[in-house]
Amino acid sequence: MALEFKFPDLGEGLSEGEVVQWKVKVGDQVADHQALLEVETDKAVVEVPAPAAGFVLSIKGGPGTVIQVGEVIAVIGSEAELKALPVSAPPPPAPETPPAPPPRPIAPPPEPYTVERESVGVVGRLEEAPEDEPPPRPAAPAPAPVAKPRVEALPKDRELARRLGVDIDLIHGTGPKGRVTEEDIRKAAALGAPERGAHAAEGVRGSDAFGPVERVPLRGVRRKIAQAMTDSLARTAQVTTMDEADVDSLWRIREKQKAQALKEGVHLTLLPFLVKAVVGALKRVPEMNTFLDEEKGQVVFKAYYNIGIAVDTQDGLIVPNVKDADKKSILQIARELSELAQKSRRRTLAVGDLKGGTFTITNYGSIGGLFGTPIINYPEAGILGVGRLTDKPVAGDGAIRIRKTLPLSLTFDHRLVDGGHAQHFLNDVIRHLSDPDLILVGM
Amino acid sequence: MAKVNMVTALNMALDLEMGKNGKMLILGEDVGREGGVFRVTDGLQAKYGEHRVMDTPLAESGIVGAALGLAAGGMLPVPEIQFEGFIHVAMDQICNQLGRYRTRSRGRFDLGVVIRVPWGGGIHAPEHHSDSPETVLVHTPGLTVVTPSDPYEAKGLLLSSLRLGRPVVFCEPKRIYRAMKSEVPEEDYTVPIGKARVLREGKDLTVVAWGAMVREAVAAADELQARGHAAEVIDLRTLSPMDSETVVESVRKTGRLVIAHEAPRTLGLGAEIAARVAEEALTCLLAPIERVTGWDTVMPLALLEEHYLPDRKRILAAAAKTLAA
Repeated sequence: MALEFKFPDLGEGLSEGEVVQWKVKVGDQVADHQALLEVETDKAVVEVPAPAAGFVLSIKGGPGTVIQVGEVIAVIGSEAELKALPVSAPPPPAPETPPAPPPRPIAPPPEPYTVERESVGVVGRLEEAPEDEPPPRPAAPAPAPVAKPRVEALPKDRELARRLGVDIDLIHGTGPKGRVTEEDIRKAAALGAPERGAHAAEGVRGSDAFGPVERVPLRGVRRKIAQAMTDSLARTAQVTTMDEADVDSLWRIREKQKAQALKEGVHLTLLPFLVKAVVGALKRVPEMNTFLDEEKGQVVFKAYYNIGIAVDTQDGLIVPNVKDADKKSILQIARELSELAQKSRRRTLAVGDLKGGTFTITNYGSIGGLFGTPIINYPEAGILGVGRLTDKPVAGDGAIRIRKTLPLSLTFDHRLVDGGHAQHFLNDVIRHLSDPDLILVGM
Repeated sequence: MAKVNMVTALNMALDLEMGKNGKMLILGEDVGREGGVFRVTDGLQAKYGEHRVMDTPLAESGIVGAALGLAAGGMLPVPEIQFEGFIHVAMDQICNQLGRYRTRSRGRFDLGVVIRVPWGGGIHAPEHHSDSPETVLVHTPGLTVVTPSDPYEAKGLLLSSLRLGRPVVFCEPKRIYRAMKSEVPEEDYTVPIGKARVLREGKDLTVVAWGAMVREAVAAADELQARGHAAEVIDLRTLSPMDSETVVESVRKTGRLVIAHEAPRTLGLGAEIAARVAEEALTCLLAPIERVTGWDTVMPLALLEEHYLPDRKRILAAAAKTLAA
């Protein structure tokens, strides 16, 4: 079987060569690795060896012919195949114009400094500048950006600053020659750390099988949240029901009273009304204000109403609660809510603010979203999720009206509360939100 | 002002100084009738005669030895070693004699000898014709080692070298002998020895190079600029005494350093520069120092030459590494 010998890739991104001379002719017997021809490339004249032993059945081109990588330049076969060739098979006429060259292989993009003009010296080949080259002399140097010298710090201390999430350039160095010392960095970290999330401070960069990743230790609030959520889902039987409240009238009250509230230094939102509505509903559906004492096998009905409010902080979710919400006015609750939120964000809450909750409201609607499946703040029996307040067309009394609508999602622990109770609870909340006079008369 | 290549610029410097200084002599293989293999001494023998531009036998030790004696006798000999690979043959004269003469004579003989040597790779030349053994010279006490990076620099640095009155090895990057042109004044001017040149100012990283590598460093800096990083490019110009102050000052500002040279990596000048920066500016470094160098092996022949020589791409890769750290 005849072997078609293709012009091999000589490396260096060369795509073609020029035949200098053939060292064999058709009919010659060649040994494996015997030189077949000389080819001149961009870089050198090289001998191309035979890929196998046999008889040369054909060769392509003569001196000066340009051959492409991958093009068949010779056919090598057996003696029988040689004899089978038509007797008149002419030896290749030397500098014959080759047939239309095969499509040029895709050449790599040219290097920026390809040698375009060369002068051949006694030794080697020198790159020659083009006649009209733009002056390589540094053209007017670009205006230099003003850069101040780096602060002085040992690499180990820079590493420390990176780990602690401290910007070393902002630290005043107290070491020799104003060097920022390890102590300076630790002090700065102690002062500035709460401003930054744990993520920036302690991440370790690396990569997994699919790309770069950063590993951050699970710490602080984040770790507590993770533990609390896992506990809650592992130890309770949670069901979520959803509904909407028409809060048009409530909204009007709030709009009317917010200026007055502001005079008292209170930013009035719908939340304190919600707290009040929830407290009323808890009184009417006491199953929602319980917890399950698993050790003693008892359901504990609470006769106090501490309503927890989930506050989103930089470090994660924190849930302080308004104590004895049933005994407080809406304005009082509003004031307390804003204080608790502020303390949460500043991380200045007292432990008591976080303990003793009986039911929780999570107002994710302030960020967005309509419904959710809130996770119970264990061991409470329920949590009310409040979605985004929207204007909605509502059909009623044979007409369609635009109403302020509040989406609500109630998650309850089915171990303690059945669907009926839960829905009664939610209905009660909705009724009070839709008809705020009921809150006024305390029904 | 004429735009000329480095070969012409060097020829202009030699011509100018020969005209001014009757004690200046040129000697070397093929420097006379042939005008040098690269034509740097072209026309000088015809102009100044066989007694001032002398063809010598193929004997580098003899060429430098003769120059040493001429200098001790008050002449200004300018020997040419045809290729850097053959400077080793003359190292006994250079290292054991020339570099020590001042100390040995307690200052009575400070020998003004300027040894010109075509330097470095990139021209597809045979073995011994493409090396960069500058470390050997910089490590040798008593020598001043200079290398230009473009035609303007070449003329100015060579004139400074010729007037220094001390042993100078003037390394001519043959790869850019003819590859670039710049405006070179006909007049006499000098470029200071011992002072690096900040070709381009930048705040994000420092790239140090010399000779033919400067062109690659500038190309890399252009590309970095396009990516939004301002690289400061420093042409060392004089390898000994080395102007590490300029480098250190730059690193204090940028915090990142890439050193590019053709010579092999181990104990290449990059090692010395890195050491000096570590001594003077360790506390300012934001990333480990990167060296982009030839490999620790014999400079290969033409086909593999480009794999050996650092280029724009390798400098860019190193820059990216320091910027990511």
